[in-house]
Amino acid sequence: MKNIFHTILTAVMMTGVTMAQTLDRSKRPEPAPAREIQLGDYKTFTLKNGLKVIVVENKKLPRLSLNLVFTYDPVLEGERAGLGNITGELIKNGSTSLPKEKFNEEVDFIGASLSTYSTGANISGLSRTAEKLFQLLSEVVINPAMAAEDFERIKLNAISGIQAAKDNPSAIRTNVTNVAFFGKNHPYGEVETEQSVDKITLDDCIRFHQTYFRPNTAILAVVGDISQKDARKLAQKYFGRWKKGQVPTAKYPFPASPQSPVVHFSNRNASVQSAIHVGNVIDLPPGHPDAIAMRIANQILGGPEGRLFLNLRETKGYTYGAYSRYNTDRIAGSFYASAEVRNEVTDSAISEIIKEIKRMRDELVTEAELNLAKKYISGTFGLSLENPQTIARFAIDIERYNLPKDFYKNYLKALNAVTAEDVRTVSRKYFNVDRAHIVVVGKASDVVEKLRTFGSIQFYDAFGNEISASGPAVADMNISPEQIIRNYIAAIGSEQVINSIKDITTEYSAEITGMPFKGKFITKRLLTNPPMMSNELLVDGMGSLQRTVYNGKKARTTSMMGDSDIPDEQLDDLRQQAMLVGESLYLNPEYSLKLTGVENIDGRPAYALEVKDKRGKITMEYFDTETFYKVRQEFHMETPQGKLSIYVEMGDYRDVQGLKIPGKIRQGQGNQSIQLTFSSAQINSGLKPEDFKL
Amino acid sequence: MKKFNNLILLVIMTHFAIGQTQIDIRKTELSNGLRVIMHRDNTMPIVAVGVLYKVGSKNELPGRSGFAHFFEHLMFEGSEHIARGEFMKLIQASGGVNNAYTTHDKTYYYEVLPSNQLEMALWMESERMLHAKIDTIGVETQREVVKEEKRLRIDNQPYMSFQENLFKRAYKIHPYKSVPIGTMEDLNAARLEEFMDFYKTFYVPENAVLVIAGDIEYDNAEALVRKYFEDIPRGGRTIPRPDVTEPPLEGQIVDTIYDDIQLPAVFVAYRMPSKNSDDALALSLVSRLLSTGNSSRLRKKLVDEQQIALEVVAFPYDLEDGGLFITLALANFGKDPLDILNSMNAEIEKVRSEKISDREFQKLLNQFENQQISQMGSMQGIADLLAEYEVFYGDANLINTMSQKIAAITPEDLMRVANAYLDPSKRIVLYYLPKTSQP
Repeated sequence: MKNIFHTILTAVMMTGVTMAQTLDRSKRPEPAPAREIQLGDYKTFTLKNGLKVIVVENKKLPRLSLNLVFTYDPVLEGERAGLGNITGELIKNGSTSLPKEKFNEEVDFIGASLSTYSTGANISGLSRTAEKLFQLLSEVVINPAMAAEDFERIKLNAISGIQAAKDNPSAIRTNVTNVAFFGKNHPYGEVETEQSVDKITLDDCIRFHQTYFRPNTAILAVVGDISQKDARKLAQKYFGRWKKGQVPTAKYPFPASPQSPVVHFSNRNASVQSAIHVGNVIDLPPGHPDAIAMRIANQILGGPEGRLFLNLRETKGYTYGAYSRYNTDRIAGSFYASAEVRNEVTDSAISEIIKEIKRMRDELVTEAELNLAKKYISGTFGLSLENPQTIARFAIDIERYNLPKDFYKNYLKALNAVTAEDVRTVSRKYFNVDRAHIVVVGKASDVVEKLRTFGSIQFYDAFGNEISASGPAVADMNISPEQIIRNYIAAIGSEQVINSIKDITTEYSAEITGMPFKGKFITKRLLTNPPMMSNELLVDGMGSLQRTVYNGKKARTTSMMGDSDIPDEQLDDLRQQAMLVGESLYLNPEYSLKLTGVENIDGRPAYALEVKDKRGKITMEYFDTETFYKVRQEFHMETPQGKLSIYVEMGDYRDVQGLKIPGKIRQGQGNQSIQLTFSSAQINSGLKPEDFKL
Repeated sequence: MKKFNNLILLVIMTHFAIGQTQIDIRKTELSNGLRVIMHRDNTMPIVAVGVLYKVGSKNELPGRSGFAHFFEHLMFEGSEHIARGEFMKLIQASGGVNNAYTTHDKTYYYEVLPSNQLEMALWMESERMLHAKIDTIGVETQREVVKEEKRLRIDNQPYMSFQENLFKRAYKIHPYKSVPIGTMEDLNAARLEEFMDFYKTFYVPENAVLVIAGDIEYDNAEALVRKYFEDIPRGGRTIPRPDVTEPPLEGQIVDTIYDDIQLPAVFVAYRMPSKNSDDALALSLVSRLLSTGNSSRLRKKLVDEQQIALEVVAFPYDLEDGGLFITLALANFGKDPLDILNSMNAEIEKVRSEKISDREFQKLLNQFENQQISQMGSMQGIADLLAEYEVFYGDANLINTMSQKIAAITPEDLMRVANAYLDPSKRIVLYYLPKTSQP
């Protein structure tokens, strides 16, 4: 009986289902009426020492976060570029009253997370630990320990990061863009280098902290499950004793734009893609009346699925993505379109980018584009409010930039009021394509000639230093490759010097990207026929890490992984390395040489020589066009993951008893590199064949 | 259209609920077997919609590793009423965002939108479930995209082959022996007919859970769900699930991988019980004890005191049929991986032999609670948890009762599970060494 009943019921339900199938699925649902977006309120008060406190009460979850922001004027760091960043990282390591270990334990015990940086610090955790959160944040912000050992560690890591970035096209592009847009004497145009970070001392950091980390130029946003009253009490208790200070102010002239477009080029020989920026500085402070129309203009031009994306990727297939962005800023903002495109289409891609920017200035956007942009921007604006931090960010902006209190409350209304004419007006005002900076990081020999149609070209190294030698094709190209090799040999040492050397031992100190350890690299060569050689990498306090010995016939490597014989096909390379001037072999007929051009290597022009050996293996060798010293070498190794490019850079040549040897050598692949710095050399110290036993 | 397959992240985000915050839930099951879980929260006009299909790489046939994830990509190619490339545009025009991911056990699709666009998300997900477009153009396009993704995220990243290398050694018969991204060879072999068949078998209402969290009214949301999903027919096929039981490891497996790296690394993996077991929960606390925060044991010992490691991580890669408890350390330059393993062993041994202090235990609970509350901060976080708990723990309401399960764990339990599962004689040890040191 029960079963029958069930069947009937099912039948009824099935009928219902059948009727429901009349649903027309091709009809897209219309949105329901939108609920008005309510922006949460916030309160502010100011402590006696000038610290402005914003409280965003949100009791939805029992959590709390404290965001401290310093509003001091951007600092020109000069030859110590990187000082603010190092200081910001250093303060995270405990305080004068809570040593690092105890401090870390206390942060972890309450399950909090903490971050610190040059212009602020954040901590977040459970609201029941509110007092502890205030205390821990105040400890590192007001009285950081700033221990010497932490300082050394952070500095070394920073230098490793800079080294790694040197071969990274987008990092180079950022450096060149900053210098091109703002100039080197502007805080936004400063570039951190190994040298600048190296100059920074612990005292500098202590002084920076004392000068700039002051309550009178700070805003503390307290966000979460806390009452206004408790926030005031805790802010007073933990930040009230923080002493105000005379924080320097600074004014910077607004950077000038060029009269006509300028190409800023940085060469990277390994590039198969050009990294492009096209843009200009903009005078658009946060909260400016144009800011909202600008948001829409940028969305249509370079947002996800915007005009640049659809043209350069979907239509032309030049790239995986093409976008544009802009930054509003109190002292100088910026706008730029960006794309990474394959070498062959670099100029075409720039033409298309310029065309799209011009179109924004010349034509009205369509109603469909305008509406899509408004829907997307207002939708994601609403989604961003799910996080109470968004309200805190709005409040900080309002306080910091003196915006109308209802700026964000009226944001959507203002957004919807923007017309196609408004979009064209801001495009004309801020997309200054006729006075643009065109920044390209790529392979000069493939792309640079085709860029001349866009404007004059300025050349830069990886850190945005302008290169005086004006790039390719300034040197004498009638020289033969053989002559370059002969000039190189002559530059290294006279025949007499070279013939007088029977053995040589060189020692370099070694540093490896990301490693806080130092070591040394010792090479011994006995210049018999065949020559013999040993290479050894030693690490301070740990002894030999790897040793390779070549006895003229065979070679073996010894490391912590054990011994291994070097395969026969690599012995020729070792023999060449063992020679005093191995490049002299290139003059033998089994090598073929080709001069492929002149390229900038670290700011100087160098002959690029393609060397092919009898097995067809190609090595690129670069020789300075004036001194003829070898400055760079590039080759590939086949690995199961594909081709691995390896480069070796040499520079800072010095004289050792008439022989010139490089003072600095860097070998790298991808983001990893080892840097050698000359320590000592001995000539004719009496090495014997027995020293090269396997 | 970013589609993540970030397994580590996923696994590190182990989920558990908190005491104070009650999540209101309504559950329904449609006549076609689709389970629907809704959570109403009208604080903000936002809604998250997710569909979890209970299919992951463990449902792949031999020789077809990577298939489930490849298939996930095809599910963005359009449907009978959504043209190719239109999926993203429709979401954008709705003012929303979307994404998807695939693991060993599941495939999850989601959208977050202004709440007045709920119907749009439901329509799109119903299109995906009822008649997604699977054709040669889509398969061939996405085959290349997936291969690029593998190159970008795995092959070109140092150490990232560790998942593949650990799982293939940890499992001999269970399909967990392969990883969701698959192998190039298998990705190349996948054919259109196989995708059609996979769709008909697994992408069916009775194998899915639909979650909606946010600014909804229950009755109205349910009516919309019925409108778009109720007439999707059951698949009706028997859904194949692996029914093999992997025997325990018989001994310690030690191996070396030569990779394009400069720093050696050590990976150690132990087999874990099923992720819905109480022991798995206790193990997740053990992983925290070892590596969460600057004061955690492995970090303090290996990174701060001995300075032999640059980085250490311990995490439960927990799975339905039992996953792996993984610990790893990246060596400092010139440090012997053997010393690292010895120090890791010593710390594990300490957990096995000494009861942890009340303060340290309390720290773990506090960290737990913080993480839970963070996850409750977004509707998408809640939707994800509800689907996960419903499908793999049998009850979405675990989101409200997990705190009781956590409260029942004792310091003794941590010792007990460390002894039961973190057995040095039954584990995988992998050394990652620079290629240049390969003999």
